[in-house]
Amino acid sequence: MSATAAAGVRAPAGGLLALLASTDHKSVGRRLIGVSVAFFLAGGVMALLMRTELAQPGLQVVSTDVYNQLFSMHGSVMIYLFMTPIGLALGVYLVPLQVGAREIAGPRWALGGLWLDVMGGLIMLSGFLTVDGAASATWIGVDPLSRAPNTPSMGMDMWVLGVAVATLGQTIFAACVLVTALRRRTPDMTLLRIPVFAWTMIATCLMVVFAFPVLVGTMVMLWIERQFGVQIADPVTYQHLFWFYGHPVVYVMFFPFVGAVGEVFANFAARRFFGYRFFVVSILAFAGLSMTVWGHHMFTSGQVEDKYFALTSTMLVLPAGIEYFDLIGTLWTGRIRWSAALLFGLGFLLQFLIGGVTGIWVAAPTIDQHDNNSYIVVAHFHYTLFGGSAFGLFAAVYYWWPKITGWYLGERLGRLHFWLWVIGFNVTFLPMFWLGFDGMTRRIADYPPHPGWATVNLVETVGAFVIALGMAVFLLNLALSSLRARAAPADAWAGGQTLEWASDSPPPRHNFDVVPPVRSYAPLWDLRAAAQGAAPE
Amino acid sequence: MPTRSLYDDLASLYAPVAVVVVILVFGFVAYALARSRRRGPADAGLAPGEPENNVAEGTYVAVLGLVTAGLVTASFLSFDKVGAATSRASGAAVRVNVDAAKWRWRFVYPAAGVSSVAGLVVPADRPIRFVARSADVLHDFWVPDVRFQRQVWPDRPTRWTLSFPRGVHDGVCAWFCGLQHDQMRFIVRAVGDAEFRRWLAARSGAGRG
Amino acid sequence: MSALRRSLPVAAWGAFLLALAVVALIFRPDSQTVVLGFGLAVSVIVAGGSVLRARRGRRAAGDVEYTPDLSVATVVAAVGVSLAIAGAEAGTWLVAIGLGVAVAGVGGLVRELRAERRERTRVRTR
Repeated sequence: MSATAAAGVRAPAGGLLALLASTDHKSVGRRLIGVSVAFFLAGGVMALLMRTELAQPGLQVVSTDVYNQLFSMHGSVMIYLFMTPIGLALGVYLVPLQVGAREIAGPRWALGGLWLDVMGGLIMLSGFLTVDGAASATWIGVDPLSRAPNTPSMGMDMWVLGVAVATLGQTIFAACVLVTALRRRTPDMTLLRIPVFAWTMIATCLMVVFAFPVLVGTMVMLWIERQFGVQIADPVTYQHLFWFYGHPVVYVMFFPFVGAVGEVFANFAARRFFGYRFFVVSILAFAGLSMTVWGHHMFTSGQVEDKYFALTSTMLVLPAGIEYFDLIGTLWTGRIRWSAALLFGLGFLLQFLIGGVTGIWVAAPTIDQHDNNSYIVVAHFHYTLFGGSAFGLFAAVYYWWPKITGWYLGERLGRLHFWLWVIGFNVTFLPMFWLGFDGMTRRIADYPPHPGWATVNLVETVGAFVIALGMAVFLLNLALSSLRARAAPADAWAGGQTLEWASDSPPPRHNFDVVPPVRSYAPLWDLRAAAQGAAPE
Repeated sequence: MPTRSLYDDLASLYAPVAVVVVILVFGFVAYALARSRRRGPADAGLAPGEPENNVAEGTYVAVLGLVTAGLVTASFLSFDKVGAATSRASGAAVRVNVDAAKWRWRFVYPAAGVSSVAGLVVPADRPIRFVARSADVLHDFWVPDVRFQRQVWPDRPTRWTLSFPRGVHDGVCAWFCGLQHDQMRFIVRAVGDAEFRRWLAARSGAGRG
Repeated sequence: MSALRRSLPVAAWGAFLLALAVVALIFRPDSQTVVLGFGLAVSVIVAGGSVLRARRGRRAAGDVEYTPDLSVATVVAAVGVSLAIAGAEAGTWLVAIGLGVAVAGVGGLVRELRAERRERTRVRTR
C-alpha cells in the first residue's frame, strides 16, 4: 500500500550537484552512510596492519612510531568517523519517515553538518600526509602526552581540529533529528506512539546534544594549550572533560542499533514489539545514566571518588536488562522468518551481551584496577562496538536497504557475510580476555614472548582477516545485487509495521502524499489487523 | 589482605553471576527461536502474543534491582577493603619512591640512598609503601600478579601500599606514554628479609645504581 | 500537542539527571564531578524549558514545502568554515581562502532564504 499519488510530486534534482548539495534528508542520510562506510574501510585497513604486526613478537611490518599512529587513528576513525555518524545517519534517513514528516527539521543544517563531518574526517586523516605522520596520542588525546612538547607533530594538531569540526557537524544533524522527532510528527502520533527505532534515536540525540559540545570545547582548549604553551586544565580535569563526552559517545554508537534490531525482530517474528512502555522508559533512563558514569574510565587514576561511578555504572544492568527482556519477548511466540537481517540482529543480541556483562565486570573498581588498559578492556569494547553495534548496523543495512535503494541485497551472500563475521569476530576477540588477564597491556607494538602469547596473537590475526573476507563478501554482494536490481515494493518485507513501509521504495522527495492514520507504535500492523477484521491489540 | 586475593574474592562472585546471565540469555533466545519455528506455514496471518506483560516485566525489574544491589554492595565492601590495604601509610617495611619517565622506571629507596632502574627488589609478603611521580607524561604502574595498577601523574604524587608474594613478577606501564611505551617494563623480585637487607647493603656500598 | 506535553521527555530526563547529580553529593565527590553533573542537569532543564516557551512550529500538516532541492550555499559555507579552521594549522593563506569561501556561502544562504520568504509571501497572498 503506497501512500504516494502520481500527480503533484516533484522529481528531485539529480546528478553531481545533487550528490553534493541536495537538501533531501534521505540523500543526506545516504551520503553520510556512504562516507562513514568509506572511513570504516580505512579504519579496517589500519586494524589489519596492526594485527599483522602483532601476529608475532618483535617488529616485522611497521615501526613503533607508525604502529602508535595506526592504533590512535584506528580508534579515532572508527569512533569519530564511522560508528557515531552512521547511527545518526540512520536517524537522519528514517526518523522523518517513521514519524510521518515530509522533511527533516532544518534540512540545510543537516546538509551543513554532513559536510562538517566529511571535512573534519579529511582534516584528521591529513595527518598521514605530513612528515611526522598522523596523531599518535590515542583516540583520547591523552593529556599531557597530547601537549605540544610531547607530541609536537602537525598530524596531532590536525587531529585536534578534525575532531572538533566533525563532532560539531554531528551535533548539528543530531539536533535536526531530535527536533524532527519531538516537533514534526504527524498529528495523531502521540509520544507513546513513536516507533521503537525513533525513540532510540531521541535518546541518542539527547546524549549528542548535551555531551558532544563538551568535546568540541575540550578540543578548542587543547588547541590553545598546544599553540600558546599554556595550561588551561590540569591532566585530571582533561580526563573528566574528555570522558564526560567519551562515555555517552559509546551509547550514541549503540542505541540506534538497539532500535533497529527491535524493528527487525518485530518484522521477522511477525508480531508487535514487546514491552514498549518499559522499553521507552528504560531507553531514557539508560541515556541519562550513561551521562553520569564517566568516572569509571578513571578508576585507576586515584583521583576520583570511585564509589559513585561504580554505583551508576552497575545500575546500567537495569535498563539493559529491560531491553534484553523486550527484545527476547519480541522473538517469543512469534512466527520467525529467517533472513540475513535477522541473523545479524541475533548476532548483535548475543555478542553485545558478552560486551555488556564484561562491562559490568570492570565497573567494579577492585576488578578494574587489574583489568584496566589490558586486552580485557580491548575485548570488552570490541564485543560491544563490533560484535554488538557493527552487527546491529548490518541488521539495519540488510533490513532497510530495499527501502533506501529500491532493490534487495542478495540473501545468500548476506548470510555468508554473517557467518564469516561471527567466526572471524569471535576468533579475533574472544582470546583477548585471556591475554589481558595474563597481563598483556594495550597499545603496545611489541610484546614479550610470554608462553602462549605469540600463538594467541597469531590466531587473532587470522580471525581479523576472516572479518576482512566477510566485508569483501558484503561489497561483492552490493555490486552483484545492484546489477541484478531485484525491485522492492513499498512493504519490502511484507509485514512492515512502521510508516516508512507505507511509502514507495525508495520514497519520493516529500516522503508521503498521504500519511496513514497512526493508532499505536505499529501503525501499519493496526491497519492490517483492522482490514483482516481481527481486533487491534 | 593482599590485593590479589581481594581481586579473586570479588571475581569469584562476579564471574558466576556473569556466566549464569549469559547462559540464561542464550538459552531463552534459543528456546524462543526453536518454539517459533515449530509453527508451520499453516499459521497464516498475524501471530498472537501480548504486546506487553507488565506483571512479568515488573517482577523481572525487581529481581534485576536486587541483583544490582547485591553487586554494588559486594563491590563497595571490596573497594573498602582494597582501600584499607593500599592506603595504609604507617607500618610499611620499606618505602620506595617511583620515578616514572619516558620510558623507564626508576625505584629509589630513600632510607638507604639506593636507586635501581627497572628492577624493584622488595621483602616478600611485607607492606611496601610507594610514592610515585612522573617526570613528564602520564604513566601507569601495573604488576599483573598482584592485580593492581595505579596511574602516575606529573603534577602530583600518588601513594599506595602493596605487598608481593615471594618470586619474580613482571611489571609494565599500563598507560600509553609515547614512542617506547611498549618497552617501559620492570621486574619485581620479592625475596626473604635477610636477602633483601643484603641486597640493599650491597647496592648502597657500591654507590647509586 | 500542548507545549507541556512536547517538553515532557526532555523535562523528565532533566529531572532524572538532577537526581543523579544530587546522589553524587552523598559520596564526597571532587569538584569536576559536581560541576559536570549539575551543569548537565541544569542545561537539560533549561533546554526543556525553552522548548516549553517556544512558539508553535510554523509548519502545519498541509503546508507546501519551500526548501529548495539543492542548497549549494550551505555546502560552500560549511566547506569554507572547515578550510578556515584547517588553516589555523596549515597557514594564514588557508584561513583567508576559507573565510572568503565561507562569506560567499553565507551570502548565498541569505539569497536563498530571501527567495524562500518571497515565495512564501507570494503563495500566501494568492
